[in-house]
Amino acid sequence: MIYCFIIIAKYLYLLYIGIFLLDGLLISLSRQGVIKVDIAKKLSNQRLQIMLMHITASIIFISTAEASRLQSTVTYCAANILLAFFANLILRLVYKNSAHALYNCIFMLSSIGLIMLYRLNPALAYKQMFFHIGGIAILLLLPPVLTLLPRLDKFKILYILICFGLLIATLKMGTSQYGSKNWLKIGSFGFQPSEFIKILFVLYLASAFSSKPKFSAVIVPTLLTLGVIAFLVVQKDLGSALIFFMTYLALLFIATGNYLYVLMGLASVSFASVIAYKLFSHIRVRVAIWQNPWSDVTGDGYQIAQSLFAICTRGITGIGLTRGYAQKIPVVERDFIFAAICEEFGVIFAIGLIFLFVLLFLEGARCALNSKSRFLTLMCAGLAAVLAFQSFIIIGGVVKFIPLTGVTLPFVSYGGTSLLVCYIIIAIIQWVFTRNNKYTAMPAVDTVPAIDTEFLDIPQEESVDHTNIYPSDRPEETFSLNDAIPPKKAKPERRKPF
Amino acid sequence: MKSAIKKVFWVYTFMFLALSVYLVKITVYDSKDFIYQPTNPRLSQSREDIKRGSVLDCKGQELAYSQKEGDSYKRVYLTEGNLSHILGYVDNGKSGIEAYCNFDLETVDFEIMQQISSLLGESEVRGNNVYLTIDLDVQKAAAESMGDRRGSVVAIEPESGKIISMLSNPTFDSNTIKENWDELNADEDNSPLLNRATQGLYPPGSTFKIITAAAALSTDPALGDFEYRCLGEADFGDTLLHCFNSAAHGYEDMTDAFAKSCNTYFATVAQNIGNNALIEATENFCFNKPIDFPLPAREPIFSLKPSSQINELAETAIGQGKTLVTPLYMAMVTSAIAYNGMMMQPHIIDRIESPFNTVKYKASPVLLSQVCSPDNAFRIKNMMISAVNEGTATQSQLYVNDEPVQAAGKTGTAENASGEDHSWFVAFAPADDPKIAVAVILENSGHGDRAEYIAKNVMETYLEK
Repeated sequence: MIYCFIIIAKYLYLLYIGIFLLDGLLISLSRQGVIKVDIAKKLSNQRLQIMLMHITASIIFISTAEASRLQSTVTYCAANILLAFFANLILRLVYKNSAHALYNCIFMLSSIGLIMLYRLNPALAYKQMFFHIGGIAILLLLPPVLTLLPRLDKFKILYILICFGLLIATLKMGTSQYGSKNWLKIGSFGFQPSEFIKILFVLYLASAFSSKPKFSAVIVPTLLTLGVIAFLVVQKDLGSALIFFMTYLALLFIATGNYLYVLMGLASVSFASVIAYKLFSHIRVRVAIWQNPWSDVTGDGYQIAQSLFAICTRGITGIGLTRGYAQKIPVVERDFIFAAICEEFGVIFAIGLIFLFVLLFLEGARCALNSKSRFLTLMCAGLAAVLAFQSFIIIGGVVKFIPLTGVTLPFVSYGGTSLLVCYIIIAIIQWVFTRNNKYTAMPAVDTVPAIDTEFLDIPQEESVDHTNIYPSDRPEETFSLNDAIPPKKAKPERRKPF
Repeated sequence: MKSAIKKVFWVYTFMFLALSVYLVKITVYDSKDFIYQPTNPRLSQSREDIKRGSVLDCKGQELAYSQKEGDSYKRVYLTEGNLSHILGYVDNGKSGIEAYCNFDLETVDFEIMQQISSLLGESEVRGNNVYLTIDLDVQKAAAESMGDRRGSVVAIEPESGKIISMLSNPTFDSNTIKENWDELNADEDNSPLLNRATQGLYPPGSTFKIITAAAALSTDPALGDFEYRCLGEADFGDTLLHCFNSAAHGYEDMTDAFAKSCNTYFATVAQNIGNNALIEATENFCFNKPIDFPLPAREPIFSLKPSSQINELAETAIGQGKTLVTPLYMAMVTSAIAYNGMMMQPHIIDRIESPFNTVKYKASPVLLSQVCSPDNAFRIKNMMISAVNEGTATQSQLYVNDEPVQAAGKTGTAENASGEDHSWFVAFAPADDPKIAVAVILENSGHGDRAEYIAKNVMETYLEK
């Protein structure tokens, strides 16, 4: 009986994620003015899919639970459903006019993560749920704090100093976990500084590029970026190194619009990779495993081989929740959770998950496009790029598309630091989003009047002040629904720096 | 700046599209190449809630199937036909086809449909069925003529490499493996758990002369007409080789020598062509190469070196050296001669079907090696015919439906240091259009009990249908 439901649930999940993505696409198209849909209705439809997802999983968990675990399973499922419901409700009440499409994306991802984690390791799932509650608190509290801070773009030296400070501290006092020396322990509390550095690094780059960079102005950030990456490579945190480099490249391109810089960046990193390959044996081992994990399936290639077994053995529709064998993969709750999702939910669902990240990046990019100043645009784009590249690097690694470098899958993997940092990133993006909306005063998301958008009752004049603080390089442009359509090219951005 | 962001977005979307395409590609197309590995825990997973698929013979007769007993399923094996080494068991770990095809037997096709129909009480949820190439009638005939004797029979269809019959005696009963496990393991004299057909390594004896003949004809076709006077014994280096009972065969060419299984003739021929020619021929015959087979199979061992002494060459040429072969391998050699020198990859799984008869896998013939030219295969075939008609293998002349059918064969005696010699016989029939090739070994049979009878019985049963 329950087996039958588990099989049916496989297809229900496909339906949920399919509807969710379709609604996301429709919302996006509607924002661009291509078609006209009731955005509020689509958003609430997306929330319905998240709730259905939790309810379906709860039925499976509760009916397959052993008697001794029944109570905690029921508690977890109920807590999950309540969390999904109230988190949404509170965010909607507090930010009536905010990045709700973005919220839906991260709640969908979190739901998939919480369901899969409970299946793999209930104890970790409970902890993760509390991290999520902390994350939602960040979503609520960080924007007002940011609003109080004047001129985020003026602290670039501070950002980079903290970056290097944390990196040096990790190198001196850090402890190793999962092969990388990237954990810092303060008392019994451990965290990964490299996660926080991501945000500081983006803030630094955004402020460094916030005035239109000349060639000379590019050199210093480039050297500092290389320094950060070198630290990470020495700490064997190759995944983070890759994310930093790709984010740097994306921001450099966005800031200058110059392909030459990108080519130079790629050329220099290829050169650096070759040197690193010759220099560090752990990099050689990674590449060798990537090329042929089958030569040593019980040794070095074990992890990736088990991951590929999990992904491929059950075909594209998966085996059904609770019926997989993914516990055999080392650290499946963290880096390899995508393989477990492939096995139990199926590869088609997993591709839906990939497109959730595309949707997430789309929302982030749209927010960046609508921003009023170079700094905010760059910051938004940079933070969205961090999430996007991070998800690409780990999914690509797990499926052996690229060499494996251990990072977490944003919002899905277990991991306190990484989850909280992801929430901080979303909080910053959504803060920019509310700023954007405030000045254009239009009902962008919900049908609620735009006057209530700000979380704190900041007087109108003060916010006007803020606009002046973040100088816009495109004063003639105003927010438009058609922003994401390429048609008119603003003059200044076509100008090459030299 | 705006257009740059859009470009970055599209690059990113493209990267994820590529990732998705790759993911589908490895799952749908590449997965078959790597998921079948012992380290994949999913392959040995058993499900309590479904009816494991059946194992059937080539005509669809059930050899192993699951039967509902209360809430669970019990595996039932056919007790006739000495099939246990092929089928294996599930009760005490897994072995045989049960282990190799475990994943397919446990895979439920159209699972959602089957689950719903089982919920409605219409049918059980069933795994896929595995059809073997084994012909149960032939298998039973082989088991019957084998009786209690120790040994093994392997029959192959030459043009496809299909295993028609394969048995190893003494055997065990898969149904009671758990209860009898300790007893079976303790029986070191008979080793009933050993599948002699694929894992039993024996000296090839005179059946190796097929390979020596192929080596000689490949080196110099004129050697087929090479004449020699057999005196019943001859010196090779410091070793004196005898023919059987030291009988002097007199003047003979290769066909005569082959038919009478003359040792001195083939030792002399080997001396003429030298170590390297024999080594090259054994490479073509796939010696020292692992056999890719669903059941654990040992590779044939050939240890003559280019630097080996003349006496070792002479002994090797007549199958008494350090060479070791399995019955499966000798059946492959025989079917290669039968099929114009083409050795086919042996296979025992014909197809895998879902309960709704949709084919999930179908074996196709694969050429393993061209062991010798078709001309030479034809000449060796004629030598094997004369062995049956006027040589050492006259007891294997076939009568199918009371009509004589020409067979081609070669006898052999594997010297056994620790007891009576083993008796070999390899053959195929009909000679002009071979349908079946057989290798039989009887352990410690001496010279009384001959393997020919069993081979004859197997071939007649197969051809009579």
